[in-house]
Amino acid sequence: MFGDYDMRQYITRRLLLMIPILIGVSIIVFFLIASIPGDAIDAKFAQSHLTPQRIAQMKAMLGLNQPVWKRYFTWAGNAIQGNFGFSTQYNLPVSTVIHTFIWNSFILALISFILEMAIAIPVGVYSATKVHSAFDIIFTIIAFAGISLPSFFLALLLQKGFSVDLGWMPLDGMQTIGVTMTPVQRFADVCQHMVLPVICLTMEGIGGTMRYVRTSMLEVVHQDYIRTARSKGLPERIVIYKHALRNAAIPIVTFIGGALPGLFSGALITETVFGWPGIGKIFLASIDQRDYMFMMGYVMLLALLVMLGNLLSDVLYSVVDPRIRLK
Amino acid sequence: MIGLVFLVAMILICVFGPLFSSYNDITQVDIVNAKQAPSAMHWLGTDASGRDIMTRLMLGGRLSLLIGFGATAIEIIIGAFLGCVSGYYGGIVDSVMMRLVDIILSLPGMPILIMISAIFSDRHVDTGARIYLLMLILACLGWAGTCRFFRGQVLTIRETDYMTATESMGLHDMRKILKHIMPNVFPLIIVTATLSVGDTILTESTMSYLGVGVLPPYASWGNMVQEGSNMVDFTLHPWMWMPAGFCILATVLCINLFGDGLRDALDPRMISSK
Repeated sequence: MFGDYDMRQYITRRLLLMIPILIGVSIIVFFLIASIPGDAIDAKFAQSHLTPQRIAQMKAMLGLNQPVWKRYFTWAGNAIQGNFGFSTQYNLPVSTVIHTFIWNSFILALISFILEMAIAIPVGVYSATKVHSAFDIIFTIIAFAGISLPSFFLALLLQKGFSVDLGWMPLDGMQTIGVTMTPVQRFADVCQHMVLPVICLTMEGIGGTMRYVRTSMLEVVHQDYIRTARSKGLPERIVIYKHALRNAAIPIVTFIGGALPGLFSGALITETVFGWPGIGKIFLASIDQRDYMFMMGYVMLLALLVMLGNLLSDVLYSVVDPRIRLK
Repeated sequence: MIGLVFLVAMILICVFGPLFSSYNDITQVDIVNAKQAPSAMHWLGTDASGRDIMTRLMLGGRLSLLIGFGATAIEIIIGAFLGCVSGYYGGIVDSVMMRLVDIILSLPGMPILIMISAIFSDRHVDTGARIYLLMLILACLGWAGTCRFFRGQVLTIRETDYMTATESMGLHDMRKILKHIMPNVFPLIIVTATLSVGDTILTESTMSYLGVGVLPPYASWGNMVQEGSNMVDFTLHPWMWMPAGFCILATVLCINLFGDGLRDALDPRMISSK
């Protein structure tokens, strides 16, 4: 597939197209960040006894006294070489900070995603085969409820229900602090802390996916070739699971592929409510701290992930569907 | 089908919101009287400042719906029109527009909204004005998706026979767009708008929850949940935050069901069903 010249050309072209977009995004975000009054030094030392001269000195050290456009080009110049600056919050390179926390987000996202697919796909397919049945209607309502719930509210409800009232699950955080444990116990501890956030993320996403699968399946089931298969006298089971499903799988696979990069982006709200040390939560905190470098790094990462998702989705579409040829 | 049934419910929410709010309109000002009392004379209790939760819910509903409909209206008008223009002309206009749309779509929504709000906070923008600014900002970020969607629709419509007919009639370009293309995508506009309102309400409530949307003393379902989410109130006074959250859920659910039902109803008459 990648040996195919057209494919390589297409991918290269798409990757090149991403560059102006990334530049555009970086300019908008950088100037937006720069417009927020106060900077990292102010955030850290506002209540301290430093003289104004000292503060000015520290700002100059970080280059914060330069005009905005100059700071942008400094940042951009470094960024192209892979250096995304220093996080003022953590006093570590931005890439290190991202690297530290992104895997926490990834674990949550991955497990939720797997659960989501494991539930949504079968349910969606079955819903489509038994349209307007009780099963279909019930799950449609559940799906809609999932889409219509604000994420923070779901998180709070779960916390209240399972953690505060029933005491089954820990309230927040990733691990229990202050207790020594063996690695196995640690692992179990983290897993226990993971339960509520994962449930939250899964329930959020499952609605949309279920509906999407159901719609795709419905579109296929009404096609003529399905009718042909039925009139050939094939058992319904084969008609559905061999013929219909294979075709419905096309949009589903592209959807899954497109969603994969997004697993790294972190769930801002859910992580914050559950105190899960993921990259989303860190980002929200960094806004308060005016950690410019980190904010830029994270936003650029997100933009890149979005574009990669689109690219992956489009490429997969042509790979999986023999009727599509990329232009 | 299901949607139409819930449409009635949704209209009821819309109606009882404004109507009964005139009951206790003094809630704009703090009554530091009965603090955190349980459900008695106040149907849903009072919040930390002694204000009646029920009334605040309705006032909050007003605001959330206002922002939802307002932002959606602006964004749909801009997005649909620009989308049609872009799809119709093609060429440079289309390329430039799509690049711009791509950039906006690649911006992570929530972070950007939070940052913009931080700018407002520090510049001490009046909380009343912020509501309208919020509407504007949400529309500014939202038009991109709508634009791309309608552009796609126009690309399909452009090749149909009746468009060729208008071509041969020698109609002015703008006339073709406004009088022929847009009326055809109109049902789609309605459906998109409906679903977008639900989405906007969710975004606005999340922002208010984070403290960057509608600020106190104005009530919004989002910031009511936030007010009731501190250590003590969360566990001991659930009436302070739970009703607001359920309101959001109920309203958005009704909107989504209605929009979905609408889409199903209009489906056969639409050019492409996506």
